[in-house]
Amino acid sequence: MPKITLSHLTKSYSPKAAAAVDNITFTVEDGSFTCILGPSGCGKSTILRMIAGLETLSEGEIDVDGRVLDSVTKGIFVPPEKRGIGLVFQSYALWPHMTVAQNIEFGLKIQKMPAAQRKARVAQMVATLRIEGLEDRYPAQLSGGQQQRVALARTLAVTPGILLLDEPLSNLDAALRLTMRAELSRLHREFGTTIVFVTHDQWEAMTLATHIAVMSKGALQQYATASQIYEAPANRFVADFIGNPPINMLPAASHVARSFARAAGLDAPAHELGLRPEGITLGLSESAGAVTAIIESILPTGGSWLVELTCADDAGPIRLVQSTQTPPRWRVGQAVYVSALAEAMHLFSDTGARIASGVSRSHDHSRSSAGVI
Amino acid sequence: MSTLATNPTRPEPAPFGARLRHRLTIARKEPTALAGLCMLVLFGWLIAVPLVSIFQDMFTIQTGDAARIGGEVGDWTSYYLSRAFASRMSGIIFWKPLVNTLTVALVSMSLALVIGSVLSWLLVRSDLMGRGWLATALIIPFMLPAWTFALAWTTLFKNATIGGQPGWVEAMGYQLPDWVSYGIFPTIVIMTLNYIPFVILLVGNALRRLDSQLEDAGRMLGAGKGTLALQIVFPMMRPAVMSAALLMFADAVGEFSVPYVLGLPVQFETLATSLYRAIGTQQSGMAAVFTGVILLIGVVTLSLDTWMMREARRFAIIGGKGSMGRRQSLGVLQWPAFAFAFGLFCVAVIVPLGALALSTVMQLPGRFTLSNFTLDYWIGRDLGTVALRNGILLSDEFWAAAWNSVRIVGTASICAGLLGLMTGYIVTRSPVRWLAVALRQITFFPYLVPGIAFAAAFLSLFAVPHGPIPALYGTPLILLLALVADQMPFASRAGISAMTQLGRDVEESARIMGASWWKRMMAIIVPIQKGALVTAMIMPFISGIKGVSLFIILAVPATDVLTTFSIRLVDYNYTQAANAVVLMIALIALVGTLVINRITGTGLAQGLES
Repeated sequence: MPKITLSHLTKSYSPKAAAAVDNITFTVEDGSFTCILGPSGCGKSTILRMIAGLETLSEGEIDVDGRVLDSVTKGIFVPPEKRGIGLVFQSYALWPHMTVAQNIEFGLKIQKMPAAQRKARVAQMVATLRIEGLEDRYPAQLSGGQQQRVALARTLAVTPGILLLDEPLSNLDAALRLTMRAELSRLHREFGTTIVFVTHDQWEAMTLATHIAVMSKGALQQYATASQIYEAPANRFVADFIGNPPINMLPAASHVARSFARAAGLDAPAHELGLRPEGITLGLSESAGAVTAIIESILPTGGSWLVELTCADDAGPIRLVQSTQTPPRWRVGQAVYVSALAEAMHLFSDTGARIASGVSRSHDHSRSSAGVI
Repeated sequence: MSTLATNPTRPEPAPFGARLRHRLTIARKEPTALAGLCMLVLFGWLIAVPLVSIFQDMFTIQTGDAARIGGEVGDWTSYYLSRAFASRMSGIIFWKPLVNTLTVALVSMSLALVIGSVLSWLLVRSDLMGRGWLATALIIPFMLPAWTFALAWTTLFKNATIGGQPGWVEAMGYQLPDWVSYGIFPTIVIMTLNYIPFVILLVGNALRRLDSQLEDAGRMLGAGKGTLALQIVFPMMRPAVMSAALLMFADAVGEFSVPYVLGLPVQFETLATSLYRAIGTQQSGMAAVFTGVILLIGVVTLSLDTWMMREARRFAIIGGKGSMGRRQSLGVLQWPAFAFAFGLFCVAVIVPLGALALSTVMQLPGRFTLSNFTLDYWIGRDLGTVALRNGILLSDEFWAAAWNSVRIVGTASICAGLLGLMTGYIVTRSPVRWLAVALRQITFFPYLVPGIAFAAAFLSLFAVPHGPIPALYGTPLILLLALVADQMPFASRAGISAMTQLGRDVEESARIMGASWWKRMMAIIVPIQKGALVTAMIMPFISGIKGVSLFIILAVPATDVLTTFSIRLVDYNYTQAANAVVLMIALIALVGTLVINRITGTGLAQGLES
C-alpha cells in the first residue's frame, strides 16, 4: 500500500512572482484519507496535480513507496500516464463523446484487459457506484451526482493504489453532498486506497479526512489529524480558518482577554487571544474571570444560535460571538456576565504562532499541546 | 502522528545542470513542444521562406536579364526597382496600374460602405418588410466567386470591340461604348456588388450588438436625433465600419479575376494583372516588385485592421449582454426602402445568375425565341466547335478538371483542417509560450498576403530545385502546398477557437488513465473536435474551389482545375461553356457555405471578425 512522500515541493511560474507552492514537506500515510485544505488560490490543487504529474516541479521531490516520480535534483520525471495514480477532476472531465460504459472501459482497454474481463469489471463498477441503467447514456444526459459517480467508477476501475480527488463535493447540492460523502467513506473502507483530496470547505475536510494539511499562500500551515487541527491549531491562520463561526480574536493586552486568560491559568505573554464561540458561556451571576457585556443581537441558525456581544474595554468596545445549542433566554440590550472555557482559548504571538492553549479543568487528562512541536 | 510545518528547512536550489536534465526529461515525455517545433519548421518553409524568396528576387538579377542589366545571374541589383518606380517605362509598367488598383479599391470600398451601411440599418434597425429573407438573400454574392459577376457582365454588356459572341444588349441592337463594356467602370460596379454583403455582415452585426438603451440614455439627457447619431451611434459603429473598409480594401488590392476578365480588352491593368503578365512573360524580377507592393499594401492595411479590432474590443465591454434592439418604423418610406433592397438583390443576384444560367441554354445571345434555346452546351454531342465538341456535362475536360479540383482542393483542405486543429492544440497546450505565439502568427500571416502575391512567391521558390526539394512546378504538389499555406489562417483559427473551448482536463483525465499522447489524440481530441475539424476542412474547400489567383499562376494544363478551365474557356470565347462551368463552381460554393452554416450554427460574420 502506497505512502506518498513530498519533500520541499515548490512550484513557481515565473522567477518574479511568489511561488504558487512553496517548500512543502509532508508524508501521506498509507491507507489514509488525507485532505489538503485551504482558501482558493493557496496552491492546494497544484500539489494534487504535481502528485498526478500534470504539473512539474520547480524544486523538490515526490516519491511513492520509495519510487521517485519527480525530482529536480535527480532529473527524474515519470509522466502521468506511467504513474498509475487515479485522479478525479473537479469538473469530472468525462469524455463527452463516449457513453458511461465506454468512459469506464477506457482505462481497462489501455491496460489491455481482455474484453470479457473488461465487461465484468465495468458491470462491477457500475454496481459498486450504483449507476445501473446509465451505461449507454452520454455524460451530457447525466445529473451532477451521476457524473461524479461515473468519474469515480472510471478512476476506480483500474484500481489505482492512490486516488486523488479535486474538490470532490463542490459541484453537488447539499443533499447529494451528504450521500456522496458517505459513499466516499464507504469506498475508502472497501478499497483501502490511499486517498488525497483537496477542498476549501472545512466541513468537508473535518467530516471525511483522517489527516488534514492546512495551506495558505502556497505554504503548509499545519499537518495533523482533524481533531488536532481544531483543538491545537498551529497558528493564527489555522485557528481562524477552521471553525464556524470563526474564532474570536481579542488583543491579549485588553482587559477582557487578560481576565479570561488569568481565569484559565494562561499567563504567557502573547499578542492575541483566540476564543472559540462555542466556549463562551453567559450568565446573570458573577463568576471568576467573568466580564460584563451587552447583548447586541441573537441570530437563530436552525438548531443553534449566534449571540453577538460587546464588552466595554479601555481601548474601545470588544465584539464577541457566542455559538450555543441551548435557546438563549436573553433580550437584546441586556447586560450579562461572560466567561470562557479554558480549552476554547489559545494564545498567539505577534508572528501568529500559537504559544499556549487553555487546559480543561473538568477533565483530568491533559491535551494542551499534544503533538505540537 | 502529527506534524506542524511552520518553518521547514529550505534546501539549496537544485544546480543548473540538474534543472536542465529535469526539463529535458519532461520534454522527452511530452511531445507537444516537439510537435509544435515541427509545425513551425513546416510553416516556416511553406509561408515564410516563399515570401523571403520573393524579396530576394526583387534585388537579384534573374535568369534572362543578365545581358540587359549587365552582371551575373544572382548578382545584387536595383534594376527592377528603378525600372518599376523611376524609369521611362514606369508610368505604364507601374504607376498606372497602381493608380488603377487604388482607384478601384477606394471607390468600390466607399460605395459598398455607403450602400451596405444603409442596408444594414434597414435590416437590423427598421421594420423593413421581408427583412428576414432579405438578410440571407443579400449575402449570397459573398458566397460566390467574384468573377462570376464579371462573366455575367460580359454576357450582358460585351460589345463588338473584341470578337466572339456579342453581349445581350448589343445583340438586341444597342451600341455600347467601351467604357461600359470593359475596364474600370464595370470592375468597380462588380467589386462594389461583391463587397456589399461584407458590409452588411460586419456593420449589421455591430448594429445588432449596439444596445439601444445607450441611445435611450442619450435621449433622456435631451440629445436630439442628430446629436445621437453623431455622438453615440457613429462612434460606437466606427470600429466595425473601419474594419469592414480595411478588409475590403485589402481584398480589392489583391483581386485578380475581375480586372483580368473585364480589363484585358481595353488594356486596363491593375497590380494583380500586371503581376500575372510579368509571370506569364518570365519577368520574375518585375513580378517580385509587384508582389512586394501588393504585399506591402496588404500588410499595412490589415495591421491597421488588427489595431482597429483591438480598439473595438475596448468598446465591446460597455455594450454588455442585456442589449435591447428596437426597430424604427419606416412609415411612408417603407416602399422606397423595400424597392431599394429588393432592387439590389435583383442587380446583385438575380440578374447576374439568371443571365449566366440563361446564356448557357441559348445559342445566340439576347435572342429570346424558342428555337434559340438548347441544352447542347450542357449535354449536347458533336457541336460545331473546334474544341470541346460535347456539352460540358459530357466532356472529358470538364470532368477531368472537376476531378482535379476536388482531388487537389479536397486533399489540401483535409491537410489544412488537420494542421489547423494541430495548430489549435499546440497554441493552447504548448508548455513553451513563444512557440504558441510564433505558430499562431505564422499561420495567420497568409491572410495578409493576397492570393496572387502568395502564388507568385510560391512560384519563385519552388520553380527550381532547392537542396533536397526538387522543382515542384507543374506538379499537383505545388498547388497542394500553396493551397494549404493559403488556407491556414481559416483552418488555424477554427482549430484555435475549438481547442480554446475544450478544457485541458478532458485530455488530462485520459493521460492519468495511462493513455499515450497518440492515443489521446486519436481517442479523445480528434473525436471530440469532429465538428470543428469538418468546418476547418469545408471552409478551405469552398474558398479553394472558387479561388482563381493561386491556380492561374501555379496550375499547368496537366493540373487543370475548374477555375482555370473556365478562365481558359473565357479566353477562347466559349462563352456558354465558360458560364456553365462557373455556374457549377458557384453551386458548389453556395451549397458548401450553407452546409457549414448548418453544421456550425454560426453566422458568416463570426468568421470574418478577428
